[in-house]
Amino acid sequence: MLTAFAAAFGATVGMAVAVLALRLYRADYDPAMLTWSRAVPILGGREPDTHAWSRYHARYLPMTIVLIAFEMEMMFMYPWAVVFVEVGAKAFIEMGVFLLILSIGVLYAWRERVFAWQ
Amino acid sequence: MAVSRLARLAAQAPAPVYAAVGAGAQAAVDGLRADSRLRFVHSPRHATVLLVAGAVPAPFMPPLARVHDQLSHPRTTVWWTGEDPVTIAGLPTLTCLSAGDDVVARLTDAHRDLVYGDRATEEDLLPDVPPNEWRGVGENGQGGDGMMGGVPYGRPMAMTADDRDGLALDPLSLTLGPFLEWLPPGLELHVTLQGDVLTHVELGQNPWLQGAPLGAPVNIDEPLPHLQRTRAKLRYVARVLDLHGLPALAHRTYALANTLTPESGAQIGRLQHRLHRTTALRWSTKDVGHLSSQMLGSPGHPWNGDAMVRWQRAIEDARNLITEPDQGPGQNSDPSPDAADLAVLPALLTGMEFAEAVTTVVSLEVAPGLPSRLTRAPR
Amino acid sequence: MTGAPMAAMAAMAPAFATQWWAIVAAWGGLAFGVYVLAVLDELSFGVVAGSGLRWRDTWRMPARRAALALSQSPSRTERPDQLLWILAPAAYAGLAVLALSTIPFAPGFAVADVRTGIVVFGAAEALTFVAVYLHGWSSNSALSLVGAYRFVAQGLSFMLVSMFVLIAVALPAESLSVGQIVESQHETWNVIRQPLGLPLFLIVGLGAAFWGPMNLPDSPDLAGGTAAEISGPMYLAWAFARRCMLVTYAAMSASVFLGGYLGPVLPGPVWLGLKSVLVMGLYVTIGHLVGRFRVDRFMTHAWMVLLPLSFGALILAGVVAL
Repeated sequence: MLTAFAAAFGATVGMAVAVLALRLYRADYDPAMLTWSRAVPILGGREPDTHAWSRYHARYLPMTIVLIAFEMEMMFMYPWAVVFVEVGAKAFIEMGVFLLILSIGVLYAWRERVFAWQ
Repeated sequence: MAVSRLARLAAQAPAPVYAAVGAGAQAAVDGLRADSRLRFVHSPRHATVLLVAGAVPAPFMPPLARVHDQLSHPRTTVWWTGEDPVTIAGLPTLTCLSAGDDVVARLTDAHRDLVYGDRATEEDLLPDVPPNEWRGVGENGQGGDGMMGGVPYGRPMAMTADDRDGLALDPLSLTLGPFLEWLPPGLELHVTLQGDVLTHVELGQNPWLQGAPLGAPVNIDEPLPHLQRTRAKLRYVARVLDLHGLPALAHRTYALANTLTPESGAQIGRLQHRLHRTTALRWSTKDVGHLSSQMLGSPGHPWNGDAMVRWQRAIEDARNLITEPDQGPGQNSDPSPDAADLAVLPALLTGMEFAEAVTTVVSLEVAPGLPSRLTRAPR
Repeated sequence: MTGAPMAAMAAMAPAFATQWWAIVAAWGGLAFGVYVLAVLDELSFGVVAGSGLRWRDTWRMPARRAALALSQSPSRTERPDQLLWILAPAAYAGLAVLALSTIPFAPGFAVADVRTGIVVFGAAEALTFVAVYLHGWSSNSALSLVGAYRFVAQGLSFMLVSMFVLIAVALPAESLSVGQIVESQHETWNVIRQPLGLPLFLIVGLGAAFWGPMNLPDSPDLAGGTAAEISGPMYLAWAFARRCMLVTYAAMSASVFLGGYLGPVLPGPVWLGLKSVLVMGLYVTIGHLVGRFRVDRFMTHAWMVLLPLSFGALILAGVVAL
């Protein structure tokens, strides 16, 4: 188990380093060419008035909160999936009820226009 | 000169071109889009060649210079006009093409020369200075008093404005400039974005409407002029497809527009049938940008309806136009919309999400491919 | 060094040997998969665009376009977050490899076929939001920022669908390990006994790698979106990372729905490769035939249609497994 995770980690880091090297290839391509004029963000020809970093209105914020509720449900479903066949119909009914309650939650969220682009 | 392997491979790739479309040149540039030796990119930074087609009036030269400077090196400019070459200070390697030149060959040659190093890359046109002078003041280097004032790294931070529900969020005000591919040539939109919703839209000055001198429009090689309107409609549909994530179908439509003959009715019919079956495109364009007769001022206005109705009508018209006999150049038949009708845009786009706004603007067919129309005085 | 840790490491060394080969296979397979994906993309463009299959050009085109990207210069913006901008493509590619490492190429031959493989895959999927968001945010450009926030919206919407679908395939296998799931498909593949699963997972794969109809963060209406401000080798790294993620999802789809390395005559890795190529073919075809979705409409649709469908898939899988 330890070797498995170590290997996965190693593979991840190795690929990340390789892509990093690709990303930085010719990063020293004539620094004199990285001019201020070239650095203006792409907007079709005019300059922006302000920096882009701002308190952005993420229109889907209520949806993320509903998502967190479902994520907690997922945490329960992972071990449930492993023992499902053993336990049988009881597990099926229980999870069915759990899903039903959460579906009602999704329906309520939909009625409250949580999934609309505010 | 020993050309490296990398350069030889790079020269064989389709030439990445960014098209800055000027007056009277939209149709000409659209005629090039079906050529597989070129690849029209969405951002200037991905291009090696800047294709400036048509005439660019003086007020739009600074944005053009900005777009030119945003291209990544190695780069060059190819200017395609209908008249004598224009000389621009600072661009000694400018290639000027006129009517009758094989544009695609010249573009691919320019690309190849750049990659091999036979042609030097072009220097910046605008000065290499930061947008505003900035001397750090605060403890984190921010300028002005606290976080709210000054111009850190040359630009101010976005100022807070009340949004709703007591939220205080930042609007971004920008100008979506004259040389974006989804805007009609020369149209600028001054927008305020809150998140990705446009809360305020203003049209920029369009000097091409005020009768500014334009020079001769680009001479499009028109073997069958009476198919011009069909061609224009097909190119409009292709543009809609291109900007809705269907570049392959757009390529097919551009190619069809280039090779149009009076017998192409069946091909247009097949295309229409295929587009009527696409669900994603119809889903994206249905109920978007609805324009009613009241807003447009006349019941038979070509812009009536929503985005989906407009492109469906266009391809229907294309199929009908090719079968019925030629009815004249079109100036005296049904009123084609021109840029003066764009005054409905601010009211229409306000409150729209960004993609919705792009769909709306793209669906409005402006001065469809008839270059002389742009020299007409506004109504 | 004292004796006990040395002995422990020496005991682990033989296990590491297998892992080394698996790691090399994962990297190599991914790189080759990216090439095959690029070729399939060109072919399918040619077919849909009507310009024909130009065989001689098509298999050389990915190298040409990569060479072109390498010969262009990198770019900068006025005040980017340079460190995160550099790390974002590397992180995205690394996450693709992390997800790929849970997939076995042959019985017992995997980088990390752990007992909780599905959980690791889900974790890698969730972290892609960070990588793509940071890529769009760090360039400090308005259109890129819009693309970054769009990706988070689309990603969160199908995250749950993905997890439900993977849990559904884990039910008959009684395990969260991808190897066990592949082994549970000896009699029937999951695509047959769980018909809803593969279509849903195809959408999920397209969304996580933002390809085709789900290409919201890098879309043309944002002048390239998160990729608008990058050029040259930066662009190549990002394009490579995106395709790595798509190849990983293709391999995962092939493993949990199409039986992975199971197959009669050919060796396991070849079967996995063929099935992944099939899924990649589906991805590129959908990419060229289906237009781009709108983020607000897609979000509503994902929660109100796709999520109940994945509930249905789960219930169906439960009934079948019992």
